[in-house]
Amino acid sequence: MNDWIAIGALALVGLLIPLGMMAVSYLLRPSVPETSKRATYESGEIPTGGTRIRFNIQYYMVALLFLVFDIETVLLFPWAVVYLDAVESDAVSLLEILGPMLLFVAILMVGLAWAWRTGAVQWARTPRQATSGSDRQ
Amino acid sequence: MVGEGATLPLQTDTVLLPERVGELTGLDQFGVGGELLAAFLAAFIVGNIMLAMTGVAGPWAKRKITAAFTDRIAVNRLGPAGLLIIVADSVRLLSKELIIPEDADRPAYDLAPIVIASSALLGFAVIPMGSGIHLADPEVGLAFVFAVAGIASIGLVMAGYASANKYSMLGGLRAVAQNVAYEIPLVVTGMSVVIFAGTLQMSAIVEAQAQTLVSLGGLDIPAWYALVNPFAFVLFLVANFAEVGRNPFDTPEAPTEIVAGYQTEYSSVYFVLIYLGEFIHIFLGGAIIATIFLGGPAGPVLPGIVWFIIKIWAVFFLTQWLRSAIPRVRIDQLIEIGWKGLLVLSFANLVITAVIVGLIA
Repeated sequence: MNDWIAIGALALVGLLIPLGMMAVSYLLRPSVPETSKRATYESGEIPTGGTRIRFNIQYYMVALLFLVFDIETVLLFPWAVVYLDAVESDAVSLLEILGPMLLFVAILMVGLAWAWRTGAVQWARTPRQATSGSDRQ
Repeated sequence: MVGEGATLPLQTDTVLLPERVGELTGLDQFGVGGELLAAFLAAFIVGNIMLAMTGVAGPWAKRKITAAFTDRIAVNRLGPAGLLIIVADSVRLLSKELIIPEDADRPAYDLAPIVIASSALLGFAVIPMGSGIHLADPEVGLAFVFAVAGIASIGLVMAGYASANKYSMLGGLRAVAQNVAYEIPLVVTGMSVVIFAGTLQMSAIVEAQAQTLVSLGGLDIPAWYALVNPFAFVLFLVANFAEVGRNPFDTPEAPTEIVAGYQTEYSSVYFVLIYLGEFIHIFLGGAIIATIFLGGPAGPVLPGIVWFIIKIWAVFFLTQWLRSAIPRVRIDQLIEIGWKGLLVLSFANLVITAVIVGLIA
């Protein structure tokens, strides 16, 4: 039997379980609409300002770095799968199997070192935090 | 070392659960329709085993373990050792009123709990649980399970953004920053196991670990990858704790800073689903660790499924232990540990593993 049929079946079950729980809950739960019950929670205070706040640029920087490294892991997987067979077959020398991967990882490591130096993986500080000498790195 | 002697078969011919169900119920005589129904029944069995173990027993065990660490008793009124609290809790949680914040972004707000819960459950499709409970065994098993576990990040961001709450927003951002930072060490460390096994197929990885590493006084120590490469095992454990958002990496829902993070605005069944999804994720992480580092369902005397459950619960116990013992890291420390520490160490591990395997084999 095809493996992906079974995986698809589990995906279906995985959807049906949450939906079933939601259906049961729909039958059980009360509904008592009141004013201000649905207000946005802000520790009991009246919410101020919008939700789309300005946030630290760092989140964006690490997301960009992630894209590079994630694609890189995808490219490394086929190499890792054939590595053992290639080593055991004696058809190619160890340098030929290992060399390109080492070079590839080395290039990425240079990239990481550059990102490290420019502070892309360092938590960004606001000018005020930087001058007040707070212990936050 | 591993891989000596016989080369590992790329495609093992184990009998998977859908086929067994098909034979047992006689559904395999009804062509494609029967096959589909058998697959569905098998998936239903696996889904419910995991649900019973994680969603039902998990929260109870969490309370008991935390209580033991802090010298309390915890639940003990309903049933033996308070076990019936699980039934009471599920009824209580499902019958709570659903309060949806007025500014919520509706379709995304409703979809997020389903994405979080069902993506975690899907990962168990390729996990060999022993005793023939193994739903599917595609050749890309390990890559599949990493990919599926990664879907939850989308659910977390959806929950955080759609709640229209500042705490949720920050929690969602933290969750995704953490998941992307630790996803790479996790996958790269997993890759060092692939170098040993020479395949991504879960059953073949488990089989490769059945070989004998050393014999100590007539006792065969199996070549579990946790013993073959303990450094990778520790790296994988740490990255896994960050990936499932447990201590010391529970920054996305740090209760003392941002209330409950992305789940602040969720109530009733939606909260249950997110909570359940987190628990299933812890157990999925445990299942991956058990499969690729602890020999999967292998073990003496007891049947495979029992060993598999023992190993998963050992990992779960460790997460709860850390929860009681280790303080939370700050978000800036979290980013730096991930990118400056684990990432570099995991690449070092990969390169060293490749070189050693290349020299020995």
